[in-house]
Amino acid sequence: MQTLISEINTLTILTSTLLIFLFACAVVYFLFLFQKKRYRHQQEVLELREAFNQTLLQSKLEIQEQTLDHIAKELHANFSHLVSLININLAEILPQSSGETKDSIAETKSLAKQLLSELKALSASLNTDHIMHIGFVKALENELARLGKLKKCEITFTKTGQEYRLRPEHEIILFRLCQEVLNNIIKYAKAKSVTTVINYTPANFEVAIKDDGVGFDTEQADRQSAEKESTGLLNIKKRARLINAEIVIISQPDKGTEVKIIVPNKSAE
Amino acid sequence: MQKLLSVHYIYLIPLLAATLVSLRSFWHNWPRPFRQFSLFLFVTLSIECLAISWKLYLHKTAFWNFKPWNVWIYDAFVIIKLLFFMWFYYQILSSAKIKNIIRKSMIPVFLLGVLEYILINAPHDTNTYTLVGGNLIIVFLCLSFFRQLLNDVTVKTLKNNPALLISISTMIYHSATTPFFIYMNLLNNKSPQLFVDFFSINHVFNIIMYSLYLTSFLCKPSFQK
Repeated sequence: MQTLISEINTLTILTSTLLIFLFACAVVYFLFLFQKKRYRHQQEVLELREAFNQTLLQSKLEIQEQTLDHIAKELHANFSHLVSLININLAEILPQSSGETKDSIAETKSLAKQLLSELKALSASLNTDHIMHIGFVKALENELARLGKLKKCEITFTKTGQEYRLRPEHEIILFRLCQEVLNNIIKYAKAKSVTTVINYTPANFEVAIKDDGVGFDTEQADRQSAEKESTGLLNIKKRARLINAEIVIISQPDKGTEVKIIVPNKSAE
Repeated sequence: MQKLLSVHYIYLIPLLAATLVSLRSFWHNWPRPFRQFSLFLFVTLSIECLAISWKLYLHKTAFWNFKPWNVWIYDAFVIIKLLFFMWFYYQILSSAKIKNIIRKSMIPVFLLGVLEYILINAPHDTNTYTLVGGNLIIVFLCLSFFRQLLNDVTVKTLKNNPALLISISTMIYHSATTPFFIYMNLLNNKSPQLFVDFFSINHVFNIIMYSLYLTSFLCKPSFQK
């Protein structure tokens, strides 16, 4: 009888221990499985959101490019044509006039000529096809030359390394990015000099735009861009992300600003 | 020394390793519950050493002569262990309802444990009610923690979560050893040999538990700076 009780006890303990152990293992297994599924689902949602944002940004940029292209063509075909007509008319009037009027007409003609060249330069900087044709570096040089003519600040431009070209669509985005940076300098920096350096390395294409203006607190600007829904910095960063570029903004109040854009060279990979 | 080389004390190796490795929680300034868990492992190791020493050497000295039963040491520690786990899960669980239950039940659990320790069982008997009841409470707390993980809005990486490994090992040990603990006193009184044989189950689960504690303190948690 004693042996039977012992055997029953043994069997009960062993069976229940085994069952409970298996149950505990099953609980742990399902926990991991469920959590893994949730993790994968969350990753998928994040990837989808990222892809959606990328597509949205790309569409926005394409629309912007189309608009700029349209404006550039309008400037070139319509406005330039009108200014040219003004110039021709002035040239016809000029021999018939005398004295002070003649001087005024000559001055107006010169201004119209200047306006025509400005319009051409502006049209060229907005025209996507033109930028693609001449390449990023030449387009940036032209843009800097255009800004130089404003005589607001001294412009310096240097290139180092063996030259190569990036993908045309990347060049457009990079150029628009640099335009945004340069526009910010003109609008806010109160800089006396702007230095632009392009450095070609086998691994990266680097552009650095440095000014000696008023500078800003980068952390505060990041905070304010969220609070005031200001999109300038955000757009610059988003555009950079679109071409897998790294963007570094170094700035302090009264110590100027340096924006470095590092684009990985795909052909080097 | 020869007595200490018994296979029954193998679980002390992972326990010692887990205690030593858990000191990382102080060096890397892990959150307070984990530092407290490290202290708990240190206390567990000390209690194990005391209980084994009592059984082998300390029960009989020049000043006293007691029986070699060390169950009274383990029985006292069971109450401390239960209260510690309740406190540990009180800190890491976020559900206000469960926290409230833990807060309100800590004193009754302590009083019932002490009552059983002093009045109900003899010194050489295991405090089965506290032990089994405690096991069930601990398993419930572990399951509550798993539920919290599953209901969490943000999906956390499990491998970087020391509390998870601690909970898994704690749940496996305290659930799987419950049947044995239910029969513990019966076996001890009716069939001491069977009791000793079955104690191996406890040792195996002890080894699993302390090894997982060791692993939990070896991982690099997400909160580590």
